[in-house]
Amino acid sequence: MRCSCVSNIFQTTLHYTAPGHGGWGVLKAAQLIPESYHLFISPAACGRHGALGARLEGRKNRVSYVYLTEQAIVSGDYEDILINAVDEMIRYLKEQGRMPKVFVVFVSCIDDLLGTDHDALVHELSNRHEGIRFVFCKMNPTSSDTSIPPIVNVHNKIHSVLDKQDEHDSGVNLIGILEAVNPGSELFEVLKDMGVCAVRHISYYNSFAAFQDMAKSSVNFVLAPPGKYASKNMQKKLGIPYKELYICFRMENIYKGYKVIEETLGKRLPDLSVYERNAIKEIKKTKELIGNTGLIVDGEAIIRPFEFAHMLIENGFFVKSIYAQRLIPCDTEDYEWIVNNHPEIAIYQPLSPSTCNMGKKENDCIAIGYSAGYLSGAEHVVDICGQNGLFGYHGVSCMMKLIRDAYNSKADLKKILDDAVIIV
Amino acid sequence: MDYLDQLWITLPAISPDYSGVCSAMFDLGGVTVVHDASGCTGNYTGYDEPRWYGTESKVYCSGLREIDAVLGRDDKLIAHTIEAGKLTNPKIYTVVGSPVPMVIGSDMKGIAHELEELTGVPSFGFDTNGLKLYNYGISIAMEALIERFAKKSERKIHNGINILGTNAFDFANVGNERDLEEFLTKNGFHVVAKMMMGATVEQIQSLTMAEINLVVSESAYKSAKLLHKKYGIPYVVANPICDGLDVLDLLSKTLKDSQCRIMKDENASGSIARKVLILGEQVTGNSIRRELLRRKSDANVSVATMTGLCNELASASDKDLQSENQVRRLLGTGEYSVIVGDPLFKDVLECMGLENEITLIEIPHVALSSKIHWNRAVHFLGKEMDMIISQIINSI
Repeated sequence: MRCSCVSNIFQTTLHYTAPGHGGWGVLKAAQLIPESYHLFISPAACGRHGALGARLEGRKNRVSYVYLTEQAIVSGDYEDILINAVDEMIRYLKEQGRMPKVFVVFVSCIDDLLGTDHDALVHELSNRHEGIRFVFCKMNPTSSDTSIPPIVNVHNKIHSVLDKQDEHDSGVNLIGILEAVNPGSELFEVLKDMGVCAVRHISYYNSFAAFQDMAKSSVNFVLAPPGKYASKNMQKKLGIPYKELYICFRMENIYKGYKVIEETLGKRLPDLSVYERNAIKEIKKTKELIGNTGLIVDGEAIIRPFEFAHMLIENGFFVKSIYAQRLIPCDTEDYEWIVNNHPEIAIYQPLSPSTCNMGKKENDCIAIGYSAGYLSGAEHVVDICGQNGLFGYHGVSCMMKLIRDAYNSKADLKKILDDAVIIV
Repeated sequence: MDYLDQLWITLPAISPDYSGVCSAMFDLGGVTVVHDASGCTGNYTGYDEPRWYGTESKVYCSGLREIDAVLGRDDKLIAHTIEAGKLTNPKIYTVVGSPVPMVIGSDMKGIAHELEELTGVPSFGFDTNGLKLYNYGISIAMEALIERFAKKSERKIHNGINILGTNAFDFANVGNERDLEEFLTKNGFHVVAKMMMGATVEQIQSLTMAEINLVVSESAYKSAKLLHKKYGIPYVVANPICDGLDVLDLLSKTLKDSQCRIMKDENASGSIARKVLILGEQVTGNSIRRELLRRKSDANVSVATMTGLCNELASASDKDLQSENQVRRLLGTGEYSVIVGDPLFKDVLECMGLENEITLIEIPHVALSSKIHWNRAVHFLGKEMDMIISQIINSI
């Protein structure tokens, strides 16, 4: 048994950016706000990857950029330039008949050092452009080690445009994940059986008016930690309480999650055994197929990589290594379990310079996620990034199918990554 | 600057200066650290460096955080860089600035100086800030490397040539730099050094053994002038395209008379009404213009660039377009009927309702469209470029 020593494993040093490293980026997340338009004000460099990512995914017509000069930064012209640029953009959008309901102004890392008064700017812009809501959002990874890193901030911002409603219905919101839960998940049947009139997630809405329905919900289920801050604020502003229901893969944890739902809604859970049996069947089928093939788990693919690895291990799979840059609090228990019971499992930080110097040698393994695939050299790669909406028993079944598919074919990772739109 | 020139509605930003430095250092076997939080390095590795997948090159991000910025923790950057260096025994260290170090006034050269003091490894610091463009970054990196490593040589290699200015923004990762070396070798030259694709520190040390420099992109022009001034090596500024014969002719003349030559054409305002605008890298633009004029002497062709027009390389009708707004204004005049440039200009034409008025002949430019089109980058030497020239001629 190995003694767990969290601080020694997760080091802070230079970052290596593997070709598979990254995710949605804050712009794509903010563009979930229906009928929104986005304007960045930053050095030109800061806008490049977001603009290209947006162009690759057909979102570029909803974002423009104001590129600052050194003079503008030094002289303090910054705010005047921003106001003029917003005026111009709104004139342009009006001409095109595309007036947004929400106008999101993005600032970058340097804004934190310049001390811009966002509230005053929102006030000024709102006075100039009646009927449009202005929101300031930050793409400031320098704040990644603070209590409100960019991803937490953007989850909050996208829900901050919801208005308090007079009455709540029996609907529930899913918060904390940017991609909706896979519609095949039993979650929807279960909630329907429990009398929930609607399951709501920001990605379901095309119109800003319909999006306001989320403010009618009676509870927020927080599926991943980045949504907690947003939910706290929604509780304050909209009067919607929240419950943590973090995504998991272990059967007992999935069941516990459903018990949280039961307790929260005060309604009896329907029988879940059929869903559980299906998931167990898929697990067995997968184990039979892949046998002792090594599995490599990637923390950028799965929200709680140690919990997921725990599930794999207890079902007889051979977990060879885990790539996780940091340990999130809700994954600590499973991390401790792995470290203490399976010290043979290597834990790597994918951003560490020492990881990129290891040399690729895990050819015969199945990597679950891009960075793990790239760094390990695994020939089989599960094409997944950022959980991809996997939830509950159905999430387990889907993951098992993905593992089988990966086992049955050799991945062209370069092609996968060429096609993927990944923002760091 | 007019605020409208700062507003980019359709086009993405052009690759920044720090990417230019990283790209220049890519092949040198060093450790390069971008002093940023994550996004700047992500810009470079994900969108500005088509060679990133599978590379052994060590380019890292410093992981700069607010508290480090406020407290000015250069010591942390230095310690982490040395720690990473111990893993690979680098030939050089490079530290590269980004917007936050600019605002807090980090002294990247000073940090490099300290790194060198502590490790004994040649170290370079660049005060890049993400406001300037990749060609500037390449240019300052090349000059710094030449100043540091090039040594005066007593011996000259007969027909020895340096290729200056190959880079992954203008030449992509489709083998253009290898085609160029092969072309020169086949035509009797001995390639002494390549900067920067395929460069090594040893090659840079041998630069002065060459009799001539071939400058294939604007980013290398200042380096060529430096080598001329310091070591008397004459240069030719042109990128061989199609059969490359015009460039061979210039090289041969310069070898004979040691006069520097720039491929540019002042008489490109022929009688053909449908005017052509080549919008991209300036030296390649000049070479395309020469090829067009060779085949169609009455063509009317201008070269424009969005990366800062170098007047010494420009003809009178050439354009310095510093923003999307300036591109829009020029296209809106109706002066040009054919644009030769990156496929993303189609978005601008569509936005302006000009897609049926102006013909776009596509030549992807990594510095603009990045991975959207970098697998379609053009081979400058050979039939592919021949066909593009024919396509342009057929459009006028």
